[in-house]
Amino acid sequence: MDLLLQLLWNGIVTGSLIALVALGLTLIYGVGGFLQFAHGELVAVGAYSFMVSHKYWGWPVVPALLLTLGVTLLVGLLIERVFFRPLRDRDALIPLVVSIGLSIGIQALILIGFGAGILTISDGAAPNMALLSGHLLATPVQIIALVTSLLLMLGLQSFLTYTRPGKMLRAVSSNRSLASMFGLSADSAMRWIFGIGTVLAAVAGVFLGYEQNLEPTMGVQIGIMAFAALILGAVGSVPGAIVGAYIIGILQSLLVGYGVIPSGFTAAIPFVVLILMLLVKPAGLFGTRFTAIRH
Amino acid sequence: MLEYLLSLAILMTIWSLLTQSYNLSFGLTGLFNLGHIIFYGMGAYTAAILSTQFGSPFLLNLLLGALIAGAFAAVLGLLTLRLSGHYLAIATLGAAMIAIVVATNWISLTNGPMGIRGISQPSILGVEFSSSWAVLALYLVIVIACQWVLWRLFRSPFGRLQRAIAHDEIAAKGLGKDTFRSQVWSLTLSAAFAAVAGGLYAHYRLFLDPSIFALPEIIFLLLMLIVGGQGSFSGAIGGTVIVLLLGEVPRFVGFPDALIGPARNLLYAALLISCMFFAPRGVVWLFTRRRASI
Repeated sequence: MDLLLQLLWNGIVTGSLIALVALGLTLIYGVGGFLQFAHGELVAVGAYSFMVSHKYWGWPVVPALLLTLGVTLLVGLLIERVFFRPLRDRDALIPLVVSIGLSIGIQALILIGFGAGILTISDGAAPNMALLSGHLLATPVQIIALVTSLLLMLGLQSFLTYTRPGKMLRAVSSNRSLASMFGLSADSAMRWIFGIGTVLAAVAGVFLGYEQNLEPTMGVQIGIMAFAALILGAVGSVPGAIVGAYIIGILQSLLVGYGVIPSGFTAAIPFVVLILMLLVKPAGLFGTRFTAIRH
Repeated sequence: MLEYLLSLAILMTIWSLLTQSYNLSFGLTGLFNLGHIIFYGMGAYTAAILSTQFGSPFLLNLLLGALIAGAFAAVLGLLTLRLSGHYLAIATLGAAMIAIVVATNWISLTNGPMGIRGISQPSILGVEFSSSWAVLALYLVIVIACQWVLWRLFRSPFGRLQRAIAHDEIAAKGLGKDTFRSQVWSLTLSAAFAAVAGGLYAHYRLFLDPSIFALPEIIFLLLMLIVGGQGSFSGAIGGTVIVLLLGEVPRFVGFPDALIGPARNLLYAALLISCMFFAPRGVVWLFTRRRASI
């Protein structure tokens, strides 16, 4: 019972971080109409900037976090402006290939800057706190990560539902040409989406860096999990991405924790889920249109 | 220096076959398959395992690799080819990521990250091809034969049907063609040739580890095809030569050894992105100003 509880908890924390990344992906797909393979790299940019400012330069957490958000946001917006805006009206496969190139390029830059080794943000293991009269062990970072992610998800949902820019994004997403007739520009929608997605990814990066390790491939690893979550939920759907992310996080934690799957094969779980889902119900759990299937 | 040039020539020979096989499914039929490296890796692992465990002969290894990868591709194709554009891309990319996990963790078969050592050198009917010159000559003969078969395929009614499917699948269906079946065939054949290239690689390098399935390899292959122009027969060969030569540049401009790999990946990423921006039909096409075709 304690094991189940512990595994569920770990899965929920991981799922929240996956959800932060998947939300960015789903928004970019919803508005831009393409899959941004390099989105996971922004997680890595966030994690490495936080490590540099917090650990190497010794900045306190809050300024380091602000710097991290700033740097990552800059990178995210630059990527949108330089690489994706000029390609907006091209075949959706072209931005996908460009984003794969970006992913490899950013990984190579991290390798050149920091080497292939595994780095950490916090030295030494964080103390565990016993919750629920000792049945559950959790680190403070896990709790902060969970609360922050939930707040961000709630915030995003209310932003999209109630605010003016949020409504603009939904309008552009549901019908770009109609929205443009009402003076809503797709350019500014894409800027908003990349900005929001990048901030979410940077936050996920900081927590991932604290919870696990930093390595050049960390962006691809979380990015792929987010892709699986996205396809599981329904590409382009916000609740779908969140539910998909928790399913992937919890499934991975349970399957490995109970020894159903040897731990070496953990990395394959999201892909297996992704491929199975594409075969069984490509529109996703929350999807209605079968856009994934050719006519 | 001569040994280095020879090894580069052998790699070009092997990769030209791999790129051409990719050109069949991706270029000609227009399947956005990002998992082609799986078939190459399967061919390489089949040859490595057969050679080290059973000591089976070189040509048989190539043939069995092609059969296994072809059968696997047929199953994969039946399962995934109904998916459209980017879903197919993500599903096949996912399959490649599973391949690297399996190759790393199925230790009893693949020896995991330690890799397989002691693969035999190529030999036919007791004749050993041990010097680099001999290997290059042998590989050139095999690859030219395979390229010739592929060229015939490109020019055959089968090839024309593939091009029609890439161009307008619904129209091809309207003419009563079973497009799904032809796509599965295209993937199967392209996988079989990729596996031959993989077998050649294993018998040349004599060592094999799971990095053969890694993401940079996928980009590398995609880049060769895109530089050459999708669907262009000569372009696939030209693209392979250009990209492999460019990849040697970081070695000569004084990068430290540890940085050659990342510098090369960075170069390839930049090239891939530039191609998508300025020459999505291939660099070769830029110069001929003709729609890429054979």
